[in-house]
Amino acid sequence: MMRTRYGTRPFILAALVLIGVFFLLPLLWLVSTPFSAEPTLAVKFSQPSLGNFLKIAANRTALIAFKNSLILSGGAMILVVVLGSLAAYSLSRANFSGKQAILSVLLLFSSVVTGVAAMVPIYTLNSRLHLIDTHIGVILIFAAGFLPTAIFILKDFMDRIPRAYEEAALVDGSSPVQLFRYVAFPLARQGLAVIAVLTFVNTWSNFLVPFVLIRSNEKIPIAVAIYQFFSEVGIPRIGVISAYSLLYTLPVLVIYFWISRRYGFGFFGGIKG
Amino acid sequence: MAKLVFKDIHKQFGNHTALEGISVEIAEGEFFTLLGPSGCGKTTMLRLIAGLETADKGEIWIGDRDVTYLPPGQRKVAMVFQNYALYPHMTVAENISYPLVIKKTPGGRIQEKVKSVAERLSLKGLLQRMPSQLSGGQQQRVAVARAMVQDPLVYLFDEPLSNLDAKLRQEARRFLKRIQKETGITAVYVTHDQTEAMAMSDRVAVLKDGRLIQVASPETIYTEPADVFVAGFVGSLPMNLIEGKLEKEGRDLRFSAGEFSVGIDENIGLANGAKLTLGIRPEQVFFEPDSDGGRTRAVIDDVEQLGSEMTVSLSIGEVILLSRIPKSRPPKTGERVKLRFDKSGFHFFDECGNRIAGAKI
Repeated sequence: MMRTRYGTRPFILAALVLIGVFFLLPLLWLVSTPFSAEPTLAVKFSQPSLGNFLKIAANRTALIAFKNSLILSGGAMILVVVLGSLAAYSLSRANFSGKQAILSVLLLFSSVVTGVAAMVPIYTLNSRLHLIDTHIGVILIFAAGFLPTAIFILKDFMDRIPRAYEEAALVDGSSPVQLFRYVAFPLARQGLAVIAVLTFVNTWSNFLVPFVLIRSNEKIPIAVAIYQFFSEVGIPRIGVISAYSLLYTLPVLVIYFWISRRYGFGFFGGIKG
Repeated sequence: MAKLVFKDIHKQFGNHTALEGISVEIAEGEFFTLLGPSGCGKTTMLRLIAGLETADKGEIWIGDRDVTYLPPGQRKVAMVFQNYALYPHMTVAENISYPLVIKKTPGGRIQEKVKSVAERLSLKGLLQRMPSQLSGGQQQRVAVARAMVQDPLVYLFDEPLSNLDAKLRQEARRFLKRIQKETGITAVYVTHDQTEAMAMSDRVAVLKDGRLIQVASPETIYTEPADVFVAGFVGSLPMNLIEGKLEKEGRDLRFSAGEFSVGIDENIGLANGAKLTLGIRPEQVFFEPDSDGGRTRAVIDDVEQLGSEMTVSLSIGEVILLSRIPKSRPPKTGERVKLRFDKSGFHFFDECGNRIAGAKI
């Protein structure tokens, strides 16, 4: 037993290093290339320069895109967390006929709404509602796309929070609003943090929906604005694109660490107390 | 402080009847215990008082108010849950003050009340801790504090000692009883542990299958159990219950069941040939070496040493009897002995298992 283990160990180690390098290289490229004066597709640290960032700073559309992305992802995040927690709480605590059916339908729809296949009806719908080229239109589609999954995950999370806390709060004299505000919501906040981050990250990187639904340059998010940095014939300007991509990832990291520090993540509602 | 009245309460969960025609009156300031095996409906009764369930039929009165359909927060009751249900995201101080905060009590008044209750329950040093940093006994005291701070009309306790270890349980038992007596607030206490019920209560209600079997003082429940169920449930060892019949032998009556037979000295008002169950507590069964070959002979099956006492299992043919006697030279398994009873402790139950009133020697 021992011999075989030590015998195979170098090979396993080599394989792991190889896999590690494979995943690490693109990241290294992403942090090195933006600062390079002569960007290529290779990872190298030479001729440091901030030229790429200066070019971005000069591009108004590229800058406004940050604000737009924050509005779209932030809006979707708030909508999903508020509606998702209320829906999941009801589905977790109330018993009514057809509950299982609703849950099954939710699961089914979760993969459909924002998919490529639904783009045409989504466009038509937004067009009829006069929501083309508006942020609210995109936010609604984002939220609708992620809500079923969010409700599903949150319901499961809330199912694991013992009811005794709410019963105690009821006997203590809480109104339904106080019950949700002071007891149920804080108890579920780890699950809500997970959903908030998932929604934000997912919508932040979504390209198709805003690309189809938004027309004017002042309203496009980063995922679409990145097209600014392809030349007229479609050749990517690698230096600027990498610099822009680096900036693009920062808000996601900030959101992730902020929420994780403030609320903590948790997939399980079993709270010892 | 108020009395609590159940008027013909019925409660059904789907096909399962949880409570069937419960009527009982709990006096002001009384420590009242609902005792029974799991699934007997005792917790349902408590949840009905709290308002966490609603009765299908009947009325519940607290003091001079009909609370049957009032929401939980308006009933002026405070509950201590089995797992304490301390809000895990709040400190001890926040937990205790929560009921006052949501009722919009002025801040100064809250401070004052939390302080006085914390002092009384020795929680002063723990106010800034989180519930997860407390021991089981401390958590229980916080739960009691959260109930006390509300000045309720009724305390509800749902098996509050079942999560504590044996030593703490003793201590908590005395503590709860003292708090209840000091505040003078009516308390309804649910437990499946007959020792707790006997030790703490002014009165005990024994429940079975959603019905009240007997409501009486612990003393009465022990000395005059209403039926074979109560007789078997109450007491640290279950009462010996022997099914047999009365037989006349000359002028004397004898109770016999197979090889087991015992003389009934006096007339207990029962006819020859009547079928009945004889109940004898293990504390009233004695035995001695079989010297003269008396009539009721037994074989020792098993001996359990329990420190100052021992429990001896004896068999007479098919009949098995338990005897609880002070520690002495332990008898040997398989030894033949002669039985002796303290006949003042005989209980008689009829064919349906109900106590035969007055049939006492």
